Amino acid sequence: MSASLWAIIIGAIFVNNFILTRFLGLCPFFGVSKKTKPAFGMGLAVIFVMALASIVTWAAYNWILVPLKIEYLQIIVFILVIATLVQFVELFLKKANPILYKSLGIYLPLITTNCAVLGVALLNVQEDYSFINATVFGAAAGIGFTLALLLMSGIRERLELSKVPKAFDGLPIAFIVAALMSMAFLAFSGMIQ
Amino acid sequence: MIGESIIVLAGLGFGFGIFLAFASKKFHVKHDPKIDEVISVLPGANCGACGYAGCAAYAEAVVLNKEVPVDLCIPGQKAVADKVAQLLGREAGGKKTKLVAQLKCNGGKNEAGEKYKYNGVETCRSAAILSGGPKSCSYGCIGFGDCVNVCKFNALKMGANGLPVVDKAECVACGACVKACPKGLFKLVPHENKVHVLCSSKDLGKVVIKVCKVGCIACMLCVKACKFDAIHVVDNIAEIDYSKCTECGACVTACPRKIIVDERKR
Repeated sequence: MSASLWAIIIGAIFVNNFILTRFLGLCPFFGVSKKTKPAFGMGLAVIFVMALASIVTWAAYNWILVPLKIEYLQIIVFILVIATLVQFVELFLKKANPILYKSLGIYLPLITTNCAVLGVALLNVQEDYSFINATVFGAAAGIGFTLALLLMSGIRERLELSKVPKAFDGLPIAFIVAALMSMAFLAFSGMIQ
Repeated sequence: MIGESIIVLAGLGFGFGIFLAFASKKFHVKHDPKIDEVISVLPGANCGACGYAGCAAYAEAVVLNKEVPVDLCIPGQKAVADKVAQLLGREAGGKKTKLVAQLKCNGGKNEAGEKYKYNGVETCRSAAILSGGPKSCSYGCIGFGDCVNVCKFNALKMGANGLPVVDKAECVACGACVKACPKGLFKLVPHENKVHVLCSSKDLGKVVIKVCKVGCIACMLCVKACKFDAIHVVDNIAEIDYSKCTECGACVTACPRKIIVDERKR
């Protein structure tokens, strides 16, 4: 049990990193990776939402969709569930913890329909994970997302200061960097079967 | 099948809708609508010249705390201060004179040489760490334009001579360039004053002559020429007291190094 959990964690963070190997959630990856601090805030929000979304979508799938044999509605139900969840978390944070809301709050609406979050939910179904496995997978996927975001923001902060040919300045060089990072992460493949 | 899916989706949507409506009532946070009104009045440049982290932070502070003055917004000047005061029912402060940023250096590429060839990261801040920068004058403008990069109002651009040029009509005196310049070459000066000393070198005259064609050598001729006691030499550099200066131009003609400049005659 613990060995397979470990495999799920390593697999989600490194081997099948959501951004660099599965190419999910690229929009926030390029949008919020200009500076390290917002990247970290965004990463924390994603970890939080992914773990929660895994729990709720697992429940929705196994307790509502499977008994009624309407699994083909999973995408639309997952979107509904995740959007509601994020909205609720935002409301709750605003009231319960204004300081945390100030640091995470602005990123929460960005994540609502993030494909990486939906991807976690769908992969949980595809891999037929148990409840605990699904939760751990969600959190680990979020950590992998944060790792990629932090690495990228560190590189882009340096890029700001270096001489880049005019045609590549800004987003183009960021895409090239992302491609190189993705190739580097391919080296992890084969670590886990 | 169809019936089940319709019922489930409609039920879920309805349930979530009710749940969110309930939650938004339950977790409702009281928010002073005046804060939003003040935010809409402020320029929204988030320059930080007021001393708060952006316009929203200042709006919150000025609404919630009566001690915070209504005229802290420097880019907005009197017009914004009046509007904020009106929104909050408070008195606006006295009339403020418009300030603008002035570069206190005139030693561009042609006037001041280089100590060494600099090949590092192209920011003034990095260059200044390496023996004070490549400029031969250790007080002079390095010319990579850190000030231009921080200016949010498009009031600064690099001139042909390797010195930044202030567009005084656009400048709102937020002070970002003053903080960004590692040499501290920017000063905020009253906009109506047109006579400025364009040098900041505190070196002795003979050192200045070697490194720059337009550096102040503290010859005191301007001090003698001034009839209004408005110019003094402190630490080997002439300095104008803007409260006394009448812009008669006596110092401009007296200066042998042409570092005191009258903007109107440029």
